[in-house]
Amino acid sequence: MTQGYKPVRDSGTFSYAAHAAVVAVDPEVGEVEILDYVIVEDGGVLVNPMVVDGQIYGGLAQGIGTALYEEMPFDNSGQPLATTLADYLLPGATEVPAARLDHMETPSPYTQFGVKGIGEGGAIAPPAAIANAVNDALRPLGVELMQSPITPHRVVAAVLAARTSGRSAA
Amino acid sequence: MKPVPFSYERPRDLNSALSMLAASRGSAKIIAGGQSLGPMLNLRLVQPELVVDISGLAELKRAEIRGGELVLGALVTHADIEDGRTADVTRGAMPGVAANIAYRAVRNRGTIGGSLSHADPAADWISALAALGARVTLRSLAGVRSMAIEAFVVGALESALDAGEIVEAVHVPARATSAHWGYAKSCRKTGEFAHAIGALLVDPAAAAARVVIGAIDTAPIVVTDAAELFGGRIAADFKQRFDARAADALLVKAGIDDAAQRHIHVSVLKRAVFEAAA
Ligand SMILES: Cc1cc2nc3c(=O)[nH]c(=O)nc-3n(C[C@H](O)[C@H](O)[C@H](O)COP(=O)(O)OP(=O)(O)OC[C@H]3O[C@@H](n4cnc5c(N)ncnc54)[C@H](O)[C@@H]3O)c2cc1C
Repeated sequence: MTQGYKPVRDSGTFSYAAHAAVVAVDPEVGEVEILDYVIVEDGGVLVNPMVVDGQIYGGLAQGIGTALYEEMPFDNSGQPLATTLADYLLPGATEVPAARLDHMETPSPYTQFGVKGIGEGGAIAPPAAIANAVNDALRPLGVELMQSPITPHRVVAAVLAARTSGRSAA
Repeated sequence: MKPVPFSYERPRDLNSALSMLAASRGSAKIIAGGQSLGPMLNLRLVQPELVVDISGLAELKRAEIRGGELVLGALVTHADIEDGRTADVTRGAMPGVAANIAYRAVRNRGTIGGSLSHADPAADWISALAALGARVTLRSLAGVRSMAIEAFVVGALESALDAGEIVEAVHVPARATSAHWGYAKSCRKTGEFAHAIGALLVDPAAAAARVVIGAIDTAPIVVTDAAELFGGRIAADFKQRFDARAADALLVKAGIDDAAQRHIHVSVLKRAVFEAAA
């Protein structure tokens, strides 16, 4: 016999988050630097605020990896090209900025203490926030990047393509 | 992964080390700081029968100024140079390069001789020392020979070392007071190997310049007489005269057909030129 537990209300307890990034982009070398990063998250009632902050910081680090570093490329015959951590880049302490965090606490009406799930909010938004910031920085050059991670090579290739197609105003 | 089983020796003097290497007929590997050999062993990219640990050889730790040039034993570490525990004849150029190799833990153990011998195209010393006009001396039981860095680094992870030979010392010429130095690299993260390096030593008073474009897939491009990169003449206005197209042409000639990659290399070299002119 298999038994399970099904709560009366099983729609999940979603938290809400907004991320804002300020970046500097060097269009000649393709380097991206995160200058400032702000996160506001509504995780409902914070039972242990320290744990919630840690979860969000960790998620941010993971999201920065998705945005700028982590990639599993394959060659034409299907061989994976990033099989060690020397090739598969992860952000380290110096790549993760000291983000500014703020909380809204709108209690969930469906949970015991008004808590909400906080797990993924930190990790999902950074690729979008960082890509939007990079694209905003490169807008005068007529460049829009649509693929992550945003590598120096992808930035420069896009800048050169815009220059040759005459899209660039600069 | 784990390395293959190997024997280990830690000789006490250079001659015993050279004898062990000669007796092993190419089945031995030298270990100095272990910062590159360690990973290579664990990935089984190298499978030596014998590892000869040279870290106890006092002869290779010496650093002194001799006849106007700096002679650095192969075991001098990046951190020794960074911290100024060794003399400097490059007016800050070498300490500046050392301070930006990997991160401190690696610099504490990694040696200048190990870095050159490993000949990783993306490593700093093979580019920086080629720009500074340095030479290496190699010793075996048969004797000593000396060659310029650019002759020593033959290709990716490939040096001119013969089996039984050891890098004994690096000889760095003094940098003239009129010579400008520029060194720039681009790394995706702190402590990561560079994907582009530009280095140059420009002496307008002598109308001479050495330029290196490094961290390409093979040995760095070393231009010992770099007038072609500055419109045919090296003078005080070298920054204005820097010719990005000529640099790009060198990269094309080296077989780099990806335009974005070439653009990154030329831009990093331009940073080095600006630094030299600042
Ligand atoms: C995480 C990480 C990041 C790094 N980032 C950089 C970087 O940004 N820039 C950079 O330049 N380097 C970098 N390195 C490499 C580092 O500089 C190493 O110190 C260097 O490549 C090897 O020096 P070693 O003394 O550790 O040599 P070992 O690892 O002991 O030896 C390396 C090779 O050289 C041979 N060898 C050593 N000494 C001699 C000798 N005297 N004569 C003949 N053969 C010899 C060995 O047999 C072996 O094949 C990095 C290393 C790590 C682990």
